[in-house]
Amino acid sequence: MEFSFSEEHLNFLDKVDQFIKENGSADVMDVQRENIAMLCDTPERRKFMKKIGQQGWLGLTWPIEYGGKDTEGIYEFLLNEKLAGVGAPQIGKGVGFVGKTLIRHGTEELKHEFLPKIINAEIEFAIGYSEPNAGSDAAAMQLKATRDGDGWRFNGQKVFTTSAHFAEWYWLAARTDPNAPKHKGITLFLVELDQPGITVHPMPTIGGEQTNVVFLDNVYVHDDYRVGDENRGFQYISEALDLERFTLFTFSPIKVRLQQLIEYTRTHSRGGQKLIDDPWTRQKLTSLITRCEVARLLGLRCVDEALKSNKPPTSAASMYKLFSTELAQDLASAMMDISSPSSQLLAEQPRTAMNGRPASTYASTVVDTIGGGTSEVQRNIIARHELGLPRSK
Amino acid sequence: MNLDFSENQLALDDLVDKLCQRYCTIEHVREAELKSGVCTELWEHMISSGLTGVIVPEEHGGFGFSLLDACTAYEQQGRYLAATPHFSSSIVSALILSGVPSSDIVNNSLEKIVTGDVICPAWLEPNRGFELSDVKLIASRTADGYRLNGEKVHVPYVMLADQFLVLARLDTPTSELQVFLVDSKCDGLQIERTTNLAGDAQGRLIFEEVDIPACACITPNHDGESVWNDALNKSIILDAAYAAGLADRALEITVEYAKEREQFGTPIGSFQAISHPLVDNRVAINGAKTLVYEAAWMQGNDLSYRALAMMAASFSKDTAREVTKRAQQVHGGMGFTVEYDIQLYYRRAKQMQVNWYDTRTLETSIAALVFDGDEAWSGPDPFEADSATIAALSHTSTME
Repeated sequence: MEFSFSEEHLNFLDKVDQFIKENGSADVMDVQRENIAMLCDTPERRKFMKKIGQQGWLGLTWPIEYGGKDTEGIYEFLLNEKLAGVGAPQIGKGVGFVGKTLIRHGTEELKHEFLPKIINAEIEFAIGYSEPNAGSDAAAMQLKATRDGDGWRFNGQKVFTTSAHFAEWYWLAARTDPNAPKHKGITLFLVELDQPGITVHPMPTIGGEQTNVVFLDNVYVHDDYRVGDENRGFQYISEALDLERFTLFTFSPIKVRLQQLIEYTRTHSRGGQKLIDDPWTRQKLTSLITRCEVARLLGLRCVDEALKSNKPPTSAASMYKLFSTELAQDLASAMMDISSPSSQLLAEQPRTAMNGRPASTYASTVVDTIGGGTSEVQRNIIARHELGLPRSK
Repeated sequence: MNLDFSENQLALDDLVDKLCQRYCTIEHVREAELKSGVCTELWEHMISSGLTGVIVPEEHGGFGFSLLDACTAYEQQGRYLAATPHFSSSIVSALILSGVPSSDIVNNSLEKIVTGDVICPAWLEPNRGFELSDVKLIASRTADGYRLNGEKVHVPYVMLADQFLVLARLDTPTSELQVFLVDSKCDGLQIERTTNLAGDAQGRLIFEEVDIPACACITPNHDGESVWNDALNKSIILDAAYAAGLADRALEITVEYAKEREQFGTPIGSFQAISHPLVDNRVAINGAKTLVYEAAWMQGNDLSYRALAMMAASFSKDTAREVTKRAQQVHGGMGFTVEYDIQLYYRRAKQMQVNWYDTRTLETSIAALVFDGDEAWSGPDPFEADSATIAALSHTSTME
């Protein structure tokens, strides 16, 4: 057993550090953007991501023939953890869900059109799976795609499409066979967002994250932009999610928040006593540092498993996601309690604790146990795969 | 990074598993609880297989394995609820003896541990806690040695012990702590077993004018307190591994029960009210085991491990308690009948939380090591933010 990263991995991280030092600036990196820090939603952040592309760090795990580096998946993990730790945009949907699915199932034409743009950071995607009646039960989606000559007509509504307000392309799942069992009637498409019939309606959330409702009204898409086989879309979605799950949730921001909280207790007093010397605070912090290290190790378990097997670490990824997101919420609550009462003030207010981080973290971590599969869905996965318990009724 | 088991870990895992399969069945465990508190056959085979010297240096006849190597051996013992003096004698006492200045009596005792003598630490005193400042037993200097008066409680495997490592103070209640090696057959030493929640073989020692020779003080001109703390801080890593193994097996038993037991016309494991808490247990056990390995790995690599060892002990034992609490609930009415095995785990898990440091000692010590000192609370983490970044993020806005 070995708990430190290899020389090779550490060298790569040094390069990333160096890159961040040379190219990072306040308008690109901001940990207090919490979950949306990962998005390339401004021209400055897109420029930053282009530079990452120039380093050869997009498509690290793609095959060489598609411009990738064919390296182990751990490099994407290393890169994203570093970027997340400083609140910089991360490699995401394009290189992950979209790129990897196109490589496995897309036509040569689609690969040719999209892969170079992804690897050069010239394109942003929005993902359209969730619908008002298809949340955890994603396969219940109803947005319809019906045959029309050489293409398809789309009608319906998606919700929680983050990035739709700035992305160029829509990675869209639609029902193409209403008579098949629900998992077997879904097809994936690539749809240009800026076209007649598509309306993007903002859906602001308490964490300051803008997600969107997207309406499709008789939108036409040529069959060339269908991804893979008809009616196998749900299978592709699950496959991609399985592969991506452990890079979706970065851990370093959680630890930064905890380090920040400890530093706060060292430098602030209450009742004439440094917070760090107060037994009540110490007990809370002790529990948090222990759970934080456990969460970090569950993440490493997942990486270790992914490195050694061809199969994605399904259960390990669910365990890590479940444990670390519940921790993130409890930590946020503890930040509010420990730096109370000034914790309730937002950033830039006079006399606000940690420049408003407790409140912003509290509001933004609520999504963590829901997005990318709720805690309950993760528990169902583990109950079946790991404990072998019967499917729930 | 590589979280695979090493050859040593696999070999010890296999050895202890095989021994326990034969000599530590649930019937053996139940019999031990009713009688001596010891799984006698298992203990004999642990001696003959050399396991008693698992971490004892080779020069004293042991295997000289690391704590990380021994983690799997302890998980297995936990799975089978093995009740032997191995932890007290071959781990805690062996580490104390390895930490004091070398002498004939010390070397001899280490070698005896390997060949099967039982040496047990005697530390706690009536109505007191795990704080070493609570140790008050006095060893008064005599013409040719020391005279002990006082009482020790919660001494493990009292009836089996050949010798005790007794923590005491020289002459006055405020002097430095010293460690004394005391023969169990000494005149004036009264040994009694005390029954307890987990049915283990602990007891108490009453010292009435017990005379021991000068060489019995094995920490001459030395700080007994730091030797003791150091040995305990290492040992608890394996105590934590035992707890993780216990929790692991308790969860397996419970999952099996949830698959078989039917109510409302379906296995109860299909209800999310049953399955989801069991999943949380599974996750915590995986986390606990990995944290235990990491603490042992840090210790073996001369990295800051003291807080991590305590975090591992605290988290692992808390997990065992949570798992067994849930296990009882899932077993319903049957679980608290003596006939069902799960209650054996439930009682032992809680007792683990009040031995070899209790929850309170662990949590306050972690806080002291990390927040007042500079012990690490994480393994090597290349993603940790540097102190300048953290300082900049932690200020209170001074804007008026």
